[in-house]
Amino acid sequence: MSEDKGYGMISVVYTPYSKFDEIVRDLEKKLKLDFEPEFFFLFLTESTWKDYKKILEYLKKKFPNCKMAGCIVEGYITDEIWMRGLAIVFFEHGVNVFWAKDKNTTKTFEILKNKIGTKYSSVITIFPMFYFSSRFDVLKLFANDRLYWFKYKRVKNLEDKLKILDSYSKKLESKYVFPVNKALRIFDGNFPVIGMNLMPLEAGYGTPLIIANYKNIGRGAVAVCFKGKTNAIFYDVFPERGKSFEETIEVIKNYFPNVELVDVIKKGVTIAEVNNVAPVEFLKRKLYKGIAGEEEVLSRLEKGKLSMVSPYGLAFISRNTLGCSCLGLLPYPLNIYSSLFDLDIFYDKAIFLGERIKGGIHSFGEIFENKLYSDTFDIFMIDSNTIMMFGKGVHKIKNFAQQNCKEFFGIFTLCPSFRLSNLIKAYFSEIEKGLCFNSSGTSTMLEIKNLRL
Amino acid sequence: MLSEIEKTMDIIRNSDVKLIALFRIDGVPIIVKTIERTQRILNSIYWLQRQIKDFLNQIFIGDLDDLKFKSGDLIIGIYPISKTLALIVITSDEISLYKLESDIESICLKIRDMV
Repeated sequence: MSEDKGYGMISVVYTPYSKFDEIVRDLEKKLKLDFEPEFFFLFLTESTWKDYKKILEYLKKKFPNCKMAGCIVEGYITDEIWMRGLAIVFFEHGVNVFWAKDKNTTKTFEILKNKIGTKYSSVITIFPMFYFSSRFDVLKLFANDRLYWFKYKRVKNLEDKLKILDSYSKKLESKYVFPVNKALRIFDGNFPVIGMNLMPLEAGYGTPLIIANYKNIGRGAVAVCFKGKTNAIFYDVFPERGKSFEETIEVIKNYFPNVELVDVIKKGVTIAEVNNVAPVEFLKRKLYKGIAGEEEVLSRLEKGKLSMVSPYGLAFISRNTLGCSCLGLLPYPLNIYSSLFDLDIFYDKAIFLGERIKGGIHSFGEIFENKLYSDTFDIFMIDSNTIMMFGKGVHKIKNFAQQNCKEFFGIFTLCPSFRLSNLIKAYFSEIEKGLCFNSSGTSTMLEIKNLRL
Repeated sequence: MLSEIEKTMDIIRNSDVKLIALFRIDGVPIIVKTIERTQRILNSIYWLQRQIKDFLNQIFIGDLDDLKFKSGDLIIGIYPISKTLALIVITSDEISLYKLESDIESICLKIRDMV
């Protein structure tokens, strides 16, 4: 039995089963809501997203008048933790959904921002950081990479090199990448925007999947908007950033292992050189690591098994805030490396480093200590890198939630981002004023106090 | 109760999970669910029957969470449910073990609640 606990009726239903008939059998038993939901949030996992059409059809029959949004996540946390099956969060009222899709990041998010307006207290926006639409598009990516690398190598002066990178960056942005900071920058920070910038730990064609009102929107952006009284929290596990470039470098040196200062040639979302060689070549020389061939990448994408995480990366320091964001370096056959955030606001000196989380999984529990209310329904997002780093140790997050939340629902998704003008501290990952993003170590939470209109 | 445990074990069944079994400390298999019915899986079951007591002893003496072996392209995992029961999971080495490990932990917690 659900009861109204002050924040309105919210109910979580989940099934860890993966086959469609098993899912339906399990959901039939569990989908007994005491209220008529106005909105539901569907979270599919690696084991169920391919059946999304059948699942949506089933849910549409069950809830024909309900608005919905959905996406793929790595796992979810309720009274159990599962990396398979699906979970649904039902809301009685106070939640709305909008979506937008246009040529590039700025246009897409401007449309989305206009649709959202100003009457919501918090927003969760879902968009793909990198979209793997089809084999053809990935082949085109390889071909363009070779073409632009050829053009890049022919020119000698930096200005011409940057022009070529700029043109390639625009191409990448129009087809594959939604740079996180460019997307969130569109919002003015008057109300909190939590960014679910999706990127699966293991990518396949058609990932990441994003759904709005029973429709796969492909490479677009969705906003789930909450009315009433809510509180959004951001947390990163790193120490506060420095007050100068040198100080932030010192913070990085003290925190991460294998730190090395490098010179980078970059523009937009592209990186062409790290210490005078292509980024992937730099990684190869540094770690004696084999680089996967194009065929191998395509075949892994076919199986949905292309790993998108790396324990090594480049940390960039922001000219605006002296905050820092890391970009994982993957051993894939690209000459010009694609970034997941706009690099124009960062210094040309970066730091090559190895990944590390001091305090282990316990450091992710600290977000719960920043809660404002004790009687809320909490939706939290934990960086899915934790699954790779701590394995079954992620079960401790459930204990943190049980100790600190009245009711909760958590998901594992890659490095959630955040936009709000007034942040409570000088976050390491605040790379633009009121905008936080780092490719690991971040988490967010939405405390829902009251969704009454 | 056994059917409930069986249903719980079914959660992680897929083509990469070759065997899921619940063994008693004396080597008696209580529930065995196989996807691949081949000689090598059968051999693994016979081998586990003989070794399970030692494995559980090692886990408890060494204060270990679990035990894992790699044999050819198979990974054999032994997860203690109680002092006298162990969950055995045999997977292919192509599986994303980090996510499966978390799900096996959830299954162990569920089964522990039942027994």
